[in-house]
Amino acid sequence: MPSEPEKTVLQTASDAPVNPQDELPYRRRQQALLREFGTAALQTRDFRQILQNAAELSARGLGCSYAKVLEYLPDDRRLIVRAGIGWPAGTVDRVSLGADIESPAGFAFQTGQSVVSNHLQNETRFRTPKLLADHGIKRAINVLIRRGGEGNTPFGVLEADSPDPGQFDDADADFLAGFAGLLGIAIERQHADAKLEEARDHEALLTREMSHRVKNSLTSVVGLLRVQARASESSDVKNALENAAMRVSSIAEVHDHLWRGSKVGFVDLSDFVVHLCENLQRSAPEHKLQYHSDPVVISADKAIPLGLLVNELVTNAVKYAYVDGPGVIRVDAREIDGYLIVEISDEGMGLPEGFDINQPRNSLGFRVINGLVRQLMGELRISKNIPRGALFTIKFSLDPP
Amino acid sequence: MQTIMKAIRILVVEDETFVRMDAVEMLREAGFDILEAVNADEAIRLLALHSDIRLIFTDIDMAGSINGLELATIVQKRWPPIRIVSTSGHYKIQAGDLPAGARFFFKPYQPTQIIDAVHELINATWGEESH
Repeated sequence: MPSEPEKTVLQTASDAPVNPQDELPYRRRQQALLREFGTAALQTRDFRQILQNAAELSARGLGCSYAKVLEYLPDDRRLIVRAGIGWPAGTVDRVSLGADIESPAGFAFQTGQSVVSNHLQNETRFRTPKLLADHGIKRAINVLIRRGGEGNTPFGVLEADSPDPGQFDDADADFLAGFAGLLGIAIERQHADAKLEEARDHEALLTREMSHRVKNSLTSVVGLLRVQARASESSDVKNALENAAMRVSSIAEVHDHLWRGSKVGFVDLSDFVVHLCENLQRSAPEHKLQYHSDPVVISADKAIPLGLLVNELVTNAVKYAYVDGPGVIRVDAREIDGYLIVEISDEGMGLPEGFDINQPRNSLGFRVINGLVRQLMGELRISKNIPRGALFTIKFSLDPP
Repeated sequence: MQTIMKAIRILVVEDETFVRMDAVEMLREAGFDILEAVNADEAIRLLALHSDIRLIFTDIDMAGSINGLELATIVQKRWPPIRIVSTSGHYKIQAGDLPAGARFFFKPYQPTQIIDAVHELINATWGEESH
């Protein structure tokens, strides 16, 4: 909270004091309005709305028909109307007052003192700003709106004006200063929100940038492996390098999906499966690839090995399942009770009798598959597909996101 | 499929060495005659020198005074018959970014995607040239 501002009462009130019998309900009403404003300022993040509420409620509390929130513009050294009540259309964001010490608002802004001025037309120390003169304003209170945080220029001035005879007193100035204090906090919160937003945007940008760079590098590696595959005389080496290019390529693809979702480091599995399977379909146009995935969000740590697994098993089916002619290969990912169950199946010739994926002499492909399943801390079941072919079922627990 | 005939000339524009080598070789294997450029500025010089380039295959995100999208726009203005195939690892292509009729592929692409697109564009523009 800002420290108790000093008050400068200019023109000692000569009017009759407020009837003491009316004083208590009047002050209670002011308190209720302050509470109302405090609650409203907490509930909305619409900055304009908060400024407008401040102008309206403070005017109501002081029984006057005019009030405004003035923001200081450092470049112009002026105070511009940002919200208000009573003023004609076209005042907000257009009309500004001098911020020099010669005007009541400027004085409040420059000195930090609340200014109660009950007879503006007789004022000798201040000139009356044109906006006030045009509306026959006779008396005004101006209080500084401080900003939270250290070393910040104050936001501006809250001013209540009345064309009616009567007088404002010190307690009215305190009431208005209470509004200005709450406003200062709301303004600071707004400022902090904006900074947080900026930091979040920056973080998202960095994540995207990093992901781009990783993907670029992996894409270069894919290129290199393909170039080396072509340069090789031996068909074994050529195949090995092409397979490596394919595997690295499927890792690269995950990075496309890393920054697309709303959650950093997480991937929408159904998007990812569609993308992956479209690519696999392109490299095996003779077969029909059917795919489905539940809309599940999974971490990149799971998505990368899973993508590689799908890549391996589909590539395997493409190579070995159908000896004569095209066939169907299915990829199906479902979430059941916190587990992801991914099935890759074909309707081809099926695996040989007595096939054991854990045999150490098995192909690199199966060693890779076993390794990836372990990385997912999952299990792999190999069975006969109905009516024919092979069915690979991968099951692993989805981390609590 | 390839018979004795003058191969169709394609310009490959890509700044990443391995990616460019891969693209050049895969298109060469597919029977095309390839020129290569490491950025858009070099591409424009080559286009001005060689009037027989029928298609450019260009990356979008490249260092140099202009990127692949601007290159595509220039090609369409100065050499309207030249077909355009473009690629990017992360540029999110929007409608109107590329001239009408241009194709786009995300990296990493499969060689068949590019070769199929190149064949389609060339056949659609100049008719089937090989028998």
